[in-house]
Amino acid sequence: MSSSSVKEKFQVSPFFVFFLINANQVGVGILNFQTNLVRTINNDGWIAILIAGASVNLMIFLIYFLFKKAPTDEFSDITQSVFGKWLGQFINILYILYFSSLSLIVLVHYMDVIHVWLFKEIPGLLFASVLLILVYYIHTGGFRTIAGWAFFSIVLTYWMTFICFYVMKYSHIRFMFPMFDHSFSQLMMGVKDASLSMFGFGTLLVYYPFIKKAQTSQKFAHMGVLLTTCLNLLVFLVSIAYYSSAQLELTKWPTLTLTSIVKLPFIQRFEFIEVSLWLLLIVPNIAIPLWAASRMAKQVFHTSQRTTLIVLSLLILVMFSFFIRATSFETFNKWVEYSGYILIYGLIACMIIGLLLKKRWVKKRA
Amino acid sequence: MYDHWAAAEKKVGEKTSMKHSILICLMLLSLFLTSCAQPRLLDELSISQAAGFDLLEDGEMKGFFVFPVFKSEEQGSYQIVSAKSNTISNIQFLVSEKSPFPVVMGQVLVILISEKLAKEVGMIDLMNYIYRDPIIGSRQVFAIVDGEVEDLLHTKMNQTNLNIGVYLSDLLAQNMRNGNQPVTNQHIFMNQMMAKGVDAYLPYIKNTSNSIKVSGVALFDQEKMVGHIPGEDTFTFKAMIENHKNGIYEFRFNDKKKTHVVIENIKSHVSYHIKPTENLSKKPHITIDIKLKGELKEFMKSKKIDTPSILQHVEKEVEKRVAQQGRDLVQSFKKQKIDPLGLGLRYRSKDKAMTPEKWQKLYPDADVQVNCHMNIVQTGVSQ
Repeated sequence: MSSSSVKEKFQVSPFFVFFLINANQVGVGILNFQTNLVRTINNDGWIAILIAGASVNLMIFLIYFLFKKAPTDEFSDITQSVFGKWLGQFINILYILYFSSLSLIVLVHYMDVIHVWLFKEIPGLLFASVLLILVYYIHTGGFRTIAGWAFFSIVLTYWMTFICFYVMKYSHIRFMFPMFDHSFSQLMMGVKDASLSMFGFGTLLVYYPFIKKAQTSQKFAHMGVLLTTCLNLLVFLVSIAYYSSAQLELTKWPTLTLTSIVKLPFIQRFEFIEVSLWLLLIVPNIAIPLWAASRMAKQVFHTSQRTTLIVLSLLILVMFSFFIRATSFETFNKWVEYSGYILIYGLIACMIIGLLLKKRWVKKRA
Repeated sequence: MYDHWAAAEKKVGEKTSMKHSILICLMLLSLFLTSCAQPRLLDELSISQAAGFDLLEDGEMKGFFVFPVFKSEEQGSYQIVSAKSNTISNIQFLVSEKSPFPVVMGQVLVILISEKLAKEVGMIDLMNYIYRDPIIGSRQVFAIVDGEVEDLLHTKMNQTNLNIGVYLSDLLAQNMRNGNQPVTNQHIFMNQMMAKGVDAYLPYIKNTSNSIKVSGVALFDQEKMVGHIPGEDTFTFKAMIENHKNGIYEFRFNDKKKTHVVIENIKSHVSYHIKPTENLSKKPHITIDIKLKGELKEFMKSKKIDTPSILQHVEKEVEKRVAQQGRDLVQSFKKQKIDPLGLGLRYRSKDKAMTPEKWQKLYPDADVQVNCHMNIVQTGVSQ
């Protein structure tokens, strides 16, 4: 493909991909991914994080490869050209549901954090509505505004990594050892858990045409994933040195509980600042997948993006009122995780194979 | 670069601006969300600065909360409110019933537990409550009280205008920083209590007439207290646990005059040398090396330190005594089946074949050597 299907005035510079990928990967996952990881492979989790980071990088490579080989840069058209019209549209709808579920999960999870750490009385539905209005407002500015949010959410929150260095005073290296104490199958389970906190890069499929000279942005995408991997690695290593594994398994949000040891001269309890500031990271985590879902819905149903956005937001609100404080949310979460493996990891690989086969077939006929 | 924005705005015109104003109004409405949250004004809360728990005869707990009382003419006055119940949350609630404002524990600096409670009931319920509540941070200090918490909190101290909560917090912090008390707080205690292969310790305090003093280190077997280290041994214990920069060690030199010698520690460093054995067949060998760099503070009865050989004698004597104390401590830990030094964890970090269950079996037979190397680097300004 040569030129993009999106007008240049709506596009963002290639380096924004770095922020978009990173902002979409770092969200609520980093608050509690240690708990599951430690349950499966204890202190060897860092190996799993490295492998998961490598696999995400591979996926980024495959996504760029897919767009390079595809006749168009609109993802919903690629699925149709590979799987045919009806199956393609069905798969597009699955992607729409998947992306909306990502926003929903972030919303429910963050609401839970707010309820436990800050305000237990606040009505969840009201808060979610306000957040979604904010997201809608961001969406009215177009994709460029979303990219701007991604940029600011990173610039304004990354200084909080100082917490990791602060708590090193209370950490013991000996909790990290012995290393390499797990079997290969356990390690693979760990990779599964570790890659969960790195999901979200899949929206790249949808905003790809919004990147100027998109193929040149690949290195920024890899850098974004690298930063996420490093951040997860740092948080994980600090967590296992700070907690004993039994304590880590008990803790719901290890990253927040870790913060409660921080005492600064001007503020005694830093974790409340952290939870509030986390909203900055949460907003792009809701906005980007929701934007991706609404854009795909626009193409599938041939309506305006405004309509699809409002419909999907309302759908999210309804689902939110079902899931807030419901145990079925865990099951839903699991389902979305699995569908993430199928839709992002599995289908992309399938589509590349399908695309290459189709090309060869067309060539042979000609 | 921004031309297209201006152009877009002109084109869409009033319709968009109206939509935008509706959106902005909606977002401004979110300010009303603040009324959903319960306001917590500082002077409408009873902010507890210390809490304490006693075990009563009938198995119930008696809880004490210390609140500062602000008076313009007098500093540091406080009030102690108590209640009896089976659970901490209920004690907090019952105390709230006696208080004009809701009791909050966000600023609790010290939590005192009576020895009886720590020995008979254990800490697990208390820690469960404290760890679960996000309002409570992880920095407050725990202390085990020799006797009743009630008596200790009601000690009338001379000449202090500090609230008893702040006083105790300062007392413990000071002793951890400058004295022989190993550093601990809620996080460290919780960590040690939960971890396999290491057991927890807490400061052990008691009240004497008109004062409160730190008299040793309370030792735990998982969540229950099993005994304590007397004050004389805390220097060695702290030296084995962590590297520190203060602490006083006093002993009696065995020369003719039985001189009292006092050494101040300037810097101590401890290292554990573990040689894993093949398949854990033999008993594990662990060597604990303590390096002390100290200053001679007092050398009573003797006229002066004229020959360097005296200093060497003192060094040798300290080395011998600290090593012996260390060995005795380890021996007593083995007898009580506790592991406050974290030997099990240290061993496991070297050898993955070791599991906590295997360590339980091997620990009593483990060969633990304690060596000490003392170096007196200065003797003050007098000769």
